[in-house]
Amino acid sequence: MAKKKSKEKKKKSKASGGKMSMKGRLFMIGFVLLGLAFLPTAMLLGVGMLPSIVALVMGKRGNGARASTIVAMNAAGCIPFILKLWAVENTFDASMAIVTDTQSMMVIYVAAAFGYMIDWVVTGLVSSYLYQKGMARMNAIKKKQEFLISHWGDGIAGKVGNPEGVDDE
Amino acid sequence: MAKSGASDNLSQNQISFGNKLVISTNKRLPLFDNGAALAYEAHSIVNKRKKLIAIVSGIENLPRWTAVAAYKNLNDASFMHLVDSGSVFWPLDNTEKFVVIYTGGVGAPLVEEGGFGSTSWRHPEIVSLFIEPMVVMLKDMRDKGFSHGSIRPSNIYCPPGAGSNTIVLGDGLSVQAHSSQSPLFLPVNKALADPMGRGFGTIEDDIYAFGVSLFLFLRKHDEFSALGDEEVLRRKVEFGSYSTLIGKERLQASFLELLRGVLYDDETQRWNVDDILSWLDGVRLTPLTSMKKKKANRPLVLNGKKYFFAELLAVDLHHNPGELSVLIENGNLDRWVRKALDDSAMVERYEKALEHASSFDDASSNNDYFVFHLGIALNPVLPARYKGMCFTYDGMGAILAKTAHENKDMAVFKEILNLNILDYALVAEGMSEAMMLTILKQYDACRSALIGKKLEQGIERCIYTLCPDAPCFSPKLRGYFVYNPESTVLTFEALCKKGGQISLMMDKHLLAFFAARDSSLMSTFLPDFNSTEKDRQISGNLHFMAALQRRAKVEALPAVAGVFVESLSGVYKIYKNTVMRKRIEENVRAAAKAGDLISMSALIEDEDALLKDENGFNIAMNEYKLLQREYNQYNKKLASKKTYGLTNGHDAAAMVSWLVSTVITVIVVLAFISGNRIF
Repeated sequence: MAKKKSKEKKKKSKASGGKMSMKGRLFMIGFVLLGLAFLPTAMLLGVGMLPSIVALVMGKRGNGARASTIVAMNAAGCIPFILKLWAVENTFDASMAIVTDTQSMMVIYVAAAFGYMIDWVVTGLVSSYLYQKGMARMNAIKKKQEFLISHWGDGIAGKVGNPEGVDDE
Repeated sequence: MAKSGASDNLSQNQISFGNKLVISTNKRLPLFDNGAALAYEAHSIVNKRKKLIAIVSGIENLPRWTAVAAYKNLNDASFMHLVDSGSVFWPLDNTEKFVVIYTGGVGAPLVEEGGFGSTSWRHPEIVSLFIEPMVVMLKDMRDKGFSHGSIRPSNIYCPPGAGSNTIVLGDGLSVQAHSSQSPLFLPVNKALADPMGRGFGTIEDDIYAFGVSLFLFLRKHDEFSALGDEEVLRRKVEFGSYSTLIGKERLQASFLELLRGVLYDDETQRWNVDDILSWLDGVRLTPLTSMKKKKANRPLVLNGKKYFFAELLAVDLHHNPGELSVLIENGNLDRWVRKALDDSAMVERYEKALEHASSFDDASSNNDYFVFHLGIALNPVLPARYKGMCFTYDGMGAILAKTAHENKDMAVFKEILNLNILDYALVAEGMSEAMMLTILKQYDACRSALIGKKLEQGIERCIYTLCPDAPCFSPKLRGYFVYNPESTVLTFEALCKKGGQISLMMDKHLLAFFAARDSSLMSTFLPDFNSTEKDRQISGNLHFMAALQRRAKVEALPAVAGVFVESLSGVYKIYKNTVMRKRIEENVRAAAKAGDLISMSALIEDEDALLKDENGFNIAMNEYKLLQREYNQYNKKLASKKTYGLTNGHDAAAMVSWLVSTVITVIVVLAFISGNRIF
């Protein structure tokens, strides 16, 4: 039964040809309409959030954490210029002025790069920590097993051919 | 070994028996000998004036140690009072012997051994002096299930002192029943058998022996001194016991009636104790008629002798098997049995014998088998005769035991069992069906034992099944008289002290001995003994020796324990917890020092401790498996160091990033609200 269901699902996804769902389409239309309504802000975000879009597009499916890191910092970089746009003159020209301003765009993109850097550094630190922790646990397990064998003999590890025996280590 | 005590205060010619008795090896009492069992003077350590009689019997006599308990139950004062019995090291022969010690002071025997022809003991009041006390004794023996087997004038004593009017019956325990009896005192079926093959003895045989003894005291003429045992037997077969003994003797009619009853050859019709008591009360019983034997109308000549009676021919069949074969081949025997004798019952038996003999695969090569069947057909009363041995249905066991003791070939006994010779001999006895079935089952068990491969089986098991009085004949126990748990453990203690013993103490003989004697005790341990694992065999030996120590109530066996403790290293492995194993090993060593096999046995297989150990092991094994599973998972994940923890790292980075982003956003917004523009 379960196999049948999964096959049916696969068939459905193939039939849709990888096209966006109805919900997605509605969301996209709403997004475009909102962009048209707030065109200056939308243009600023469209250009400023380019690193995030690239990260989202390039990022592996199901691994959105890295893109999220970049998005967060990229967004933080955009915030001051959006506020600037909204405070002065929320027009297409003002938005274009910010976009074409090298310094502004540098700030936004450096923030995004900083996000990338956070991802690289924190991931490295955390994975290294977890690896060491795993190694320590393996050693502890081995010691505990040795203790059990010393108390109960080799029989506790099962006879020859046990797939979970000590020899498998 | 069992009863040999400390001998510090004894002279060279004295040995101690237990803690209270001393036997003087240089003071013989030949008047109290019972066949090959020799009597010696003994005394109590407490009261040296109290004289005792020690009758010393070698293992070859198969003393009746199983009958000791029944003898002790006898109430009548006319039996010699049994003080003690057991095995003792006999320095004169440098071996252990069985000793039966009786209270002395019983006077002299009525007749000296072998002096039947010159019996001088006469008394006008023989009824009150001899018959009455003997009948009371016979009644007591019947009631207590004991048969004496050695009733004869030379074994009946008259205590000293004037006015003494009682007799004392001598020893009946130191040798096999009837083995020391002259054929004169035995009915034909027992007298013709080899001395060791006369069976367990019955009260009917004792009554017969009493009758012969009474006759010897009553008779006035001596006809037997000139006759040999063989001639007396031939006459008994031909004319019957009563006619042979009484002959031309003139006795009182009342005595003749008694003698006719007690000397009747047919055991089933012979007077029993109640009949004799009735006779004493003056009741006249239905007189027994003498059994008439059919006489052939022409003789059969065998070995130069003419035979008119089939019963007598049966006795002599084995003397010349070659001539017998000729008689069979030329049909003379067949014609004589069928035509000259004119006895339909005998012809029927004869035909059956021919049938049985022909059923044997190679009948021509086994003439003895045919002679056996022919003998039974011609005279069913006779004991079985096969390959030079003659025995009753219950007498072969003792001959087998003696052969085993002498270390001789026992193949012929296997043949006897496999050819059902004992079964045929038993059926010819004509006993009750229930009793017969019990004995036949015993023979079947022996045949199963012969083909059995287990340690407690084999011909050894047959010895101890068929001869209850046989001590253990294990080669390890040569020179020792081992017959019960006490003598077993004490003998092994002595052997272990000498050195060279191993923990696998029980051999085929010992196992067969105890399996036959005490199957309930043995059955628990047999799987251990028959195991192929050496450690299990060792623990089985220890458990069994501990059970024997408990039965024997012997406190310490340090030498035996010492042998075991050195070989138990593998046995401790039954405990899986090494800490517990070590603790138990220490406790076992402590128990071994004290010679306590019972504690050692309990420690190496403590059920509670074993249960805890097993439960602990199972818990630990599960824990080990879970740990191993976890280890394998880590091992798999950590195999790629580059990718391990990346997901978690990215998640953490996202969290950090969002945190930083939020802080920046808040600062920017606050700055914007407060009018401080950053860009």
